[in-house]
Amino acid sequence: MTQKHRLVVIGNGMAGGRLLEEIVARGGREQFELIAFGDEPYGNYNRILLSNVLAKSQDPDEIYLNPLSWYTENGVTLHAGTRVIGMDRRFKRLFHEKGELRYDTLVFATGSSAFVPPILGVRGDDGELKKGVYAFRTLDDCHGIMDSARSARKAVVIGGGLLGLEAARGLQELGVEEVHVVHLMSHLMEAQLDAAGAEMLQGTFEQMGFHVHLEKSTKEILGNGKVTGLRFADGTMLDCDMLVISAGIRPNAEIAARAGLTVNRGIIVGDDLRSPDDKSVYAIGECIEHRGETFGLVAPVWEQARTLAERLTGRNPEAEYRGSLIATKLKVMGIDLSVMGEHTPQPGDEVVRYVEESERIYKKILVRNGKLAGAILLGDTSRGAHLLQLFDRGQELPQRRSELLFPAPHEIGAPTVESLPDDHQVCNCNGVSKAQIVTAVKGGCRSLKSLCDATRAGQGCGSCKAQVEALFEYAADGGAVEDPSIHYYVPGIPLTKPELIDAVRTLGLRSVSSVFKALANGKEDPSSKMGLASLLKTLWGGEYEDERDARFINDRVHGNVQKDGTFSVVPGISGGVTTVHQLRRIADVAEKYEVPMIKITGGQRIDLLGIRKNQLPDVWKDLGMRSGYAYAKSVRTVKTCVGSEFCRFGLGDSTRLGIEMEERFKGLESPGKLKLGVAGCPRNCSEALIKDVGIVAVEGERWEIYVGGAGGAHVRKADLLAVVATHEEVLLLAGRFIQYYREQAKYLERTYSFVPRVGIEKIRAIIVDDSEGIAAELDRALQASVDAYADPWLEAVEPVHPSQFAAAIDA
Amino acid sequence: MMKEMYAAEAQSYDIGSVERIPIGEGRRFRLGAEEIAVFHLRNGEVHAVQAICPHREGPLEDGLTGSGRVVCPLHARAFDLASGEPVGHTCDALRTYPAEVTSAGTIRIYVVQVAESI
Amino acid sequence: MLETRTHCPYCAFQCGIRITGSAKAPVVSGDPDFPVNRGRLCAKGFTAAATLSHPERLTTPLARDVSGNLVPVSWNAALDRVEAGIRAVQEAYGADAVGVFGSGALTNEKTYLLGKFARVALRTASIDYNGRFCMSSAAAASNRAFGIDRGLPFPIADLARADVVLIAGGNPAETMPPLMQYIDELRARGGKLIVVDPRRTATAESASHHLAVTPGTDAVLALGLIHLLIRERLADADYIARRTEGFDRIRTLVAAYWPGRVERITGIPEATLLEVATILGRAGSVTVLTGRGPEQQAQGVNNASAYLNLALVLGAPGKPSSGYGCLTGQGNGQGGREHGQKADQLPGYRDIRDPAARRHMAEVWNVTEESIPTAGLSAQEMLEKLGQDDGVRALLVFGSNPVVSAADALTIDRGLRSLHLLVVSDFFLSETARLADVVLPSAQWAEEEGTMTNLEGRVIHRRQAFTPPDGVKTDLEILSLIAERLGHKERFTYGSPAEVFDELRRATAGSRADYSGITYDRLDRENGVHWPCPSQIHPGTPVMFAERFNTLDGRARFLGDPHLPAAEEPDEDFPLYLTTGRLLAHYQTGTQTRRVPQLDRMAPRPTAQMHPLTARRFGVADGADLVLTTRRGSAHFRAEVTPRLRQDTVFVPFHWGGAESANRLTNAALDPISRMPEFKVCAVRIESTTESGGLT
Repeated sequence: MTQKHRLVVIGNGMAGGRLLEEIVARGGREQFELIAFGDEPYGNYNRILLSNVLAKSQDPDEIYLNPLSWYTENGVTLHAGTRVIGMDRRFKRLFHEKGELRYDTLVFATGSSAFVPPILGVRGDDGELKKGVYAFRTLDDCHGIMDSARSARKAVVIGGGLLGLEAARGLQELGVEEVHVVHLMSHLMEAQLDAAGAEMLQGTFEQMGFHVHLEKSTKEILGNGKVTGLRFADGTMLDCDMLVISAGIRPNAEIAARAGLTVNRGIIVGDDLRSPDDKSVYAIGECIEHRGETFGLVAPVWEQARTLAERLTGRNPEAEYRGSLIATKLKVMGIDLSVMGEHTPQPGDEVVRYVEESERIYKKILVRNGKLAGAILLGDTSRGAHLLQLFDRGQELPQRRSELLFPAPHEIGAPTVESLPDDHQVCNCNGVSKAQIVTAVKGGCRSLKSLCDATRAGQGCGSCKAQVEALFEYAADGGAVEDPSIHYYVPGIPLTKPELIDAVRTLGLRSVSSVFKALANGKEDPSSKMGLASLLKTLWGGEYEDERDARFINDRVHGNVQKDGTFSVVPGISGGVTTVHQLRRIADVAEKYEVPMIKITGGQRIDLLGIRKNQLPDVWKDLGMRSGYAYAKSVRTVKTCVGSEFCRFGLGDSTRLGIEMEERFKGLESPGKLKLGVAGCPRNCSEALIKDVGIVAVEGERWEIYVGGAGGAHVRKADLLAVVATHEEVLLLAGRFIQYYREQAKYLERTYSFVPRVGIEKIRAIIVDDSEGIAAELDRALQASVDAYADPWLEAVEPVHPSQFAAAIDA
Repeated sequence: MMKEMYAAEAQSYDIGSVERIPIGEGRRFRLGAEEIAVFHLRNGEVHAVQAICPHREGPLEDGLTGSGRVVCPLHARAFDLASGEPVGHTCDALRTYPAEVTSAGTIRIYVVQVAESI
Repeated sequence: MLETRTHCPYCAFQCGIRITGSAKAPVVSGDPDFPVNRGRLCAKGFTAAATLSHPERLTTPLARDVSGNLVPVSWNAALDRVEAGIRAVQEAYGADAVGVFGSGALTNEKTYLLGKFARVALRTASIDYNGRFCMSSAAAASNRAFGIDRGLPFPIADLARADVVLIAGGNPAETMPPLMQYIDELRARGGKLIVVDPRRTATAESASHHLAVTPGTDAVLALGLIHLLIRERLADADYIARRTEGFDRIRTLVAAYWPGRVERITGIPEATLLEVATILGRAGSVTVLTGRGPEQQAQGVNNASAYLNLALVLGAPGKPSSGYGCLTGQGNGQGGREHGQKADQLPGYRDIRDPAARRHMAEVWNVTEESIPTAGLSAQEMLEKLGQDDGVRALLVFGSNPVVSAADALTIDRGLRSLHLLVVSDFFLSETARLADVVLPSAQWAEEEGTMTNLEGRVIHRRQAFTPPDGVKTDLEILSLIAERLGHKERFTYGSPAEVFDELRRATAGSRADYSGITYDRLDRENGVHWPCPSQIHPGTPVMFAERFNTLDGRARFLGDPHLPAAEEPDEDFPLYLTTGRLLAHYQTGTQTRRVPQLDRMAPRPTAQMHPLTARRFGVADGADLVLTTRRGSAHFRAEVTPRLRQDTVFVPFHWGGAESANRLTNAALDPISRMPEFKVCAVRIESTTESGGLT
């Protein structure tokens, strides 16, 4: 194969490294033999992140763009740490510390050096920077600064430009107590900011504890051997333990100059990035001067690298670099500053400014021929990204300039339902338009349900539910009502729960049959009986006229009917804490009655399954334990974890509280069953967060009360109701919530739908803050029910009816 | 059905006072080979139907009653007690047995043994 | 009443549907027992049966007469033309001059037989399919990183259980609405949805964070997030160490994507980037999904890889309800890319260049290894060379409408017209069929049996509800008939689709996509089976990568290159971005959905969406007729002014053909690896807002 074209790049920084990357990305390996020289013995790293390294917000090894391995993997010969000393353009040879080599094409990417002003005493006798004095330019500088910052108490930064301020912030992050910024000019960051912006920035900066000295020209660096302070032109002095100089950069163009290439401030190149003096020599990056500009930022340098790669690889031999749009951000924690383009208006420019002293917000944009010429965003850069793209693209700006500084009302977003066109398809599955929905609502669909039934909106994939609801609200315009029947407490009585309660109280209806007589003209609806029975018991407590035929079989015989007509017997074991005595009796009973299955329940009790109806009384007698209510629409159990008594994580005595709760609330009828739980710590072993009422012990000897959880067919994490200190408070608030639920919930409505329906905020207001002044009444009613408690299993001794437990009777 | 009744021999059982069954409830009686649920409704009527629900063999005597219906406790299937017809579902109808309260205040039930041959 | 459980003919969600009633009056409802859609259907699904007895349904073969009109002919006459044409072209130009163009809509059986037909009956290397326009970028990314490509390596239901789901350039709320039930569940559980999309889509609407990224900058965003995750110490170092290779490469890659730069390129504020990175980094379980947005670009593979890397940095793939996946588009986009209708591929993801694979298939097909052609050109490339010296001269198209779906449609149109023979098998006279010399009427979804593989790699049984109308044949029958005429009867005689499937099982045995343990019975019993399933006692593989990835060392690979800008960026002449996509009402090229009255009413003609400020800037009134022009062509649209997208972007749907074809505008720049055209980004100008009516 023929000799590959040899491309040599001097410099392996942001420019050189990037150029090689871009060339490789364009398949340049095939065309070129790639050789690179780098002063620093590393791969190529991202200089823009140096200040993060200094501020310890990033590790040095996180800023490498191309580690040494990259060069070998991509067939690039890198002479790392090898200095190039000169060249012979006539014979296309390059001389370096370790020898010389031929090139076909040469690219200068020698970058720039930190400018160290020739101040008296800045260097030691060896010509190196005095001890304690650092430039801020390279990873080595970074390491040096970090080292001496450990022992430094007071540091000075010369230079109030972007990098100087970032260095200052770095020093503060490194724990230097007192950090001073000394600046030659009349305001900070004069290259990017106008005076007003700089003034506000300085204020913010000083608030953060930095000391800023403006218009200070340093005349001497004091201290022999090691820096001890600075002397200024005005005679004043400032002592310090270390000094960082960030006074700008100077292009590295010596080699080029010596080789006879035109060099002004930097190596002169045209739009083709080529030296006018030598067609095989190119230059990019901070070492060049292009159209009178030199460069100190990454973006333009990388644009140059891309352009040159396009040219050299022939992907676009005509590619040209015509300069860059400049934009920067200050990387100082606690300061939002984003600047782009120019900051001083030219004649004819339009200036839009917004200043908010108290918030230290300063926004300014320059508009030139309808396009963005520059912008300063200080204190609030939320619009920065948007402006930057308008700026980069030279796009025509919207007429209303405020839309530039603040989010416009119609920033990218969704149109409101009002603004939707009438023919807008809302439910796409069933093809229902906005107009159809609105007409349906106007035409009498006053409930979401009836609307959906009538139009079939939202009955397909369901993803339009939210929008249909929003449209319904909008169209019903306050006149929204829901389908009444879904609000009846029970199907058989056409009243909502409050209405029903009211009627029951005013008419003094104490029995289910009386309710049917009074409110349903005697028509007894079987499926309504249980709901009514539960409500009446809740309302009347002891005065309730119990009619057994209104009860579900479970509540007639106090067991849970099974598929084969037998029953399950679950004795109450408060808090899931039992005794040898209890266990032995349960065992004896199970043996005596040949119980087909003995099961430990999820509620921490023991279930004896397969008991025949007529066996129930004897089983209860032999057990001599109270009912566990495993069959009732009532408080079931309180599940607990071991808690602070034994558990090494336990924060609260969950078993004791659990027992107290179960003893107090046991058997309370409720619209739906109530499963309670108490956890001794947030590990939540007793699943308190998915209980109807769950209590969790937390640090600081406090108890969190949760309500509305569920862990069955429906799973829901409970909402936090309150945090209290004592068991008494838990019993009070939990009880108050239970009573509120008993009175307000629809029949069979579990707390997991009740709580979200009413809203935890409202519930909290009522239960905790007594916002409706009913707390006392709730407490009283609950106490009445608690007092009215009687263990139903006592009916083993005194059946309510001779045939209460009768099985098949032979005639 | 009627025709069969004539062709068949009917046997009547007196199962004792209506008080044996709490008002509004039902109980199961074993009459010969038959397991029969007898209900004592709040309007005073008594009804006798097959005790075992045709749906999943639930114990109908334990069901809730009202408006002349019984609702099976297992899966809430409702039946009309007079006709045995299912209400709102498609299970087979219940077998019904003529029942009456005698002047003595007892419940009498007629169990009709349908002759195989007809 | 007779009821058939089968599956929707459209997208990769493959909703279970129940059909009752007659072929004339079918009734469709969602199948509550199918665990993927759980009874839900979208507008397309509800109306799917409308195409069965549609008046425009083709029921007889058509052939071009002397005066150039398509006229009804007998099957024999039609097949004579096909046979003669194939023989003539192959004699004159060689075997590869006859091309086959397949589809991600075909059943696994058809896909497999199509590949076999090309390699065995035609012996041509020229076969590819429209899946190249769909999933190929994400597929390549997964193959490179995980050693295997299955759209979702986990069941869709896992989405609901994640803490955070990030969807990049996907709009399931409109393209597969039944999926949203899992997102609703996720949100109800307090989970977060993050959507990356230049448009405020219905999906973005329901998101907790919407990143309206600049078109064509997806990789920058993903790499920027990784940069922040590393900086903020939120990368899962332990996972990276245990389960991945090549992290150093990515760490150095992302060093070039610091927030300031990412903000400038993507237009997403630095603060937002940090917030999102933190949410992702702190979440217990994260699922990253890509759609066509990032994939349909000349940087498609690199974009997908960037998001995949994001998932790896978060330690997601292989963990419960976490991972990376791609929202497959076409009904059988998954199975379609597994069974050998790709130019470089044999059944079961086997590489056609791999001697072992060739040997295996030679046995299954009972042919010599040498007789199996090698790799041919990818879809877009094959189509662009149609009729040219080194290109295809006769093309057989099955279940596809490339003149509408391919990028740079006008070039494709010219190519198709220049063919010696164009054969199209379809059930409607699609835009491509109109250009054909022979049109073969084929059976539809509900009229034939077969298997599909949905987006989660679940192989499902598409059951037959009705017998096809008279005069219509299934693609399987058509392929066998042509093969028979070309002298391959013995290799193309099947009693039923099940027999084809059994051969497919043998073909894929031992491959990455191993179906050998799957039978129709199992599919019925188990509501589908996730591949790989190497034996009949193997339960199938719902969740992949739990222990290891399918690479040699079992570790996932970090792969990725620096971002390159879109092949075409806005400039003076073409100042706006153009991006394309789908509407809820229509499916792909609209051949079916545009013929369903209800769907047509929902979206009768294509609109061009633009932001109010953009409309103001270019003087466009809402509802105005306008012409959009790119360097490739022009097309007509109705202006729809909406705040739902970026001010620098215009969106158009691609469901229409002719003068309303979005793909007359799109750029055919191809991804170097997946050969995916750049449908999602090009530069456009608003040409005219007055003129209306059609260019042609």
